[in-house]
Amino acid sequence: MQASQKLWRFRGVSSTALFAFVYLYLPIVVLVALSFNANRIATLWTGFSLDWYLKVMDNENILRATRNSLIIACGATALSTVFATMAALAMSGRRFRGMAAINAMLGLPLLVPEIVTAVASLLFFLALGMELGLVTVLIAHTVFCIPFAYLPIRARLEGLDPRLAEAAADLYAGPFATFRRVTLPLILPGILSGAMLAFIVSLDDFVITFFVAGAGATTLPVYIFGLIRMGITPEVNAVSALLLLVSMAFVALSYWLGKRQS
Amino acid sequence: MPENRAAIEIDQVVKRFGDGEHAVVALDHVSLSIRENEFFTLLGPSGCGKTTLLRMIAGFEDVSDGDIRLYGDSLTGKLPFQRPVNTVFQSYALFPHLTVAENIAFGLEMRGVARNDIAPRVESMLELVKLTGFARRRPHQLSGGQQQRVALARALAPHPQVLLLDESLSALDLKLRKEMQVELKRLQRETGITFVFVTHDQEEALTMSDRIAVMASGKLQQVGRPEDIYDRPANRFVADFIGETSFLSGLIAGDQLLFGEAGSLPAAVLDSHREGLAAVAVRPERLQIAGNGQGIAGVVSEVVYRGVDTVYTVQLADGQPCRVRKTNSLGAARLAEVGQTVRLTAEPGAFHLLREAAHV
Ligand SMILES: Nc1ncnc2c1ncn2[C@@H]1O[C@H](COP(=O)(O)OP(=O)(O)O)[C@@H](O)[C@H]1O
Ligand SMILES: [Mg+2]
Repeated sequence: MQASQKLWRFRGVSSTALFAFVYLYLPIVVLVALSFNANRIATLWTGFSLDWYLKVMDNENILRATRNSLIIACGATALSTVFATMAALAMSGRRFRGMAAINAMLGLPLLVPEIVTAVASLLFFLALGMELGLVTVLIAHTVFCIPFAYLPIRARLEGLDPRLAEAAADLYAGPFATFRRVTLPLILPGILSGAMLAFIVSLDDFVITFFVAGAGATTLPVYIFGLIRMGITPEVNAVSALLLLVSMAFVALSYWLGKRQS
Repeated sequence: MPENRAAIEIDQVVKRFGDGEHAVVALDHVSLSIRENEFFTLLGPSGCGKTTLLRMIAGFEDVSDGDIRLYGDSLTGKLPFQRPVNTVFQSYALFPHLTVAENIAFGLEMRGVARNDIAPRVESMLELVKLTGFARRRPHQLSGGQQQRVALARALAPHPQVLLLDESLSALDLKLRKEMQVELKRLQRETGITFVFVTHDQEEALTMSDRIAVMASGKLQQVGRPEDIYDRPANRFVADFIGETSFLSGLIAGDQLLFGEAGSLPAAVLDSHREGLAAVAVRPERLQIAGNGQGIAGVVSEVVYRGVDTVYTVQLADGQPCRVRKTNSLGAARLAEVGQTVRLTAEPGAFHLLREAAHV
């Protein structure tokens, strides 16, 4: 250990950290393991089997919920990323009164309790007299995905040398050509990273979706919640494990993209 | 050399940053004219407004007052991409996602040069800056000096009417900088493009420029050929900033220049004449040192050997310090040692008479 580290390290730090780590990941490991359990009673291990995954693939309700989830996640990702990119571009390269406040407000939805957003969204749709369904879910998701998409794009733009856009303009590129040939390619990793974050957040959302989804717009997390009410079945484990896999793949991809370009 | 017509005219230009009482005046009624095909240098200490002036020519900053004209046409209201001038940025600002060839082709593409003509033009630019074979590299795979050359090639490729260079050599190490100074002069000769070069390094400015504009705190101090500025500085600031100078106060009476107890020199050592108290400037290499005889008297207070030359600081008998520089020849002994009393003489015209009556 470095001498300087001894100055602030004290007993129990490493063991506490280890405990927290196990506490975080053990339940997930157990869930994935049990999804391969041959026994119908989810908590009793009898042998390895892929039956539950096959059952999931056969279950029409699960497939419909998955389709809804994907439609909403893709739509919300596309819309929120476009809005977030526009907002980040509008905010970059200038200073004006109230800029800090607007910046804070763009990030605030990350801190507002989800249940509050959920109730507010529901009230909003009811007040407008909108019928709850895929469209309302899509709108709600787009809104709460924007800050997630915004932050990486904004970070990328902040790190961009303003001289590059000047150099493009100096070399006869108009504003649109400068954006297309210089700014966009350089912030693309941020945009992709933001889009992926938005996608996962939308895919995983339960609370808001639960409030604003009508009967036909059940998404995968909402459907899993419904199943759980009848007890934890190996099927639930299998669906959850699949959802976990997709999320992890996206987080890894987003991280890798962010890393690769810096 | 016949005087070429003006490429750029800077007419009573003022630049204010901010407004009201917090405004910073970066340029204060600057007027100068840059001729076609010349290597023109803006020289001054950091913060004097050189970059601001360059950015106003390029179109990145608005003119607060006054006008800038390119071959007679006002540039006011024209955006950077509408001005036929190109910039070599201090930080190079190469596009990191494009190859060297794509960087150089950028301006040509934007100008709508036919696709078939771009490749050969890029190739000839690479040849011009001696980077043939580097076309497919990315900027981060190049050394600082090579990036510098790419930035030059990129800015020269569209054949601008004026090339602007901001402290272009400052980031390079000494040896590379000397090489690039020669290189830049060659590029300017070969392309016939007007260069406006910004630097805070007076030696660099003297070496490279056809003409120099010396600036201080947003004000123009003097414009002229390197010789003019070195030999006949317009004021104390220029005399101090360019080269080494000793400033002395004396009294001009008839054909004598008197330095109190130190004695006097013939007034012919001055480059102009006026009666009364005078502030004068003299270059250390324009003074002669002798053991005794005529001249002004003083005591050597410091001797610094610098390889190519030796600098003697002489405390004149009236209390003023003055420096003398002598080139070292092989095996030659020192002309004087610390504590020794010496006399200083000068050639006619060696002392520059400043406008002010006394130093402040
Ligand atoms: N964008 C700006 N906002 C406010 N002041 C500025 C800005 N750019 C330059 N200045 C000020 O203008 C003066 C001249 O700056 P600059 O042209 O960069 O000097 P130089 O290039 O000679 O070092 C400095 O005092 C600097 O602080
Ligand atoms: Mg500068």
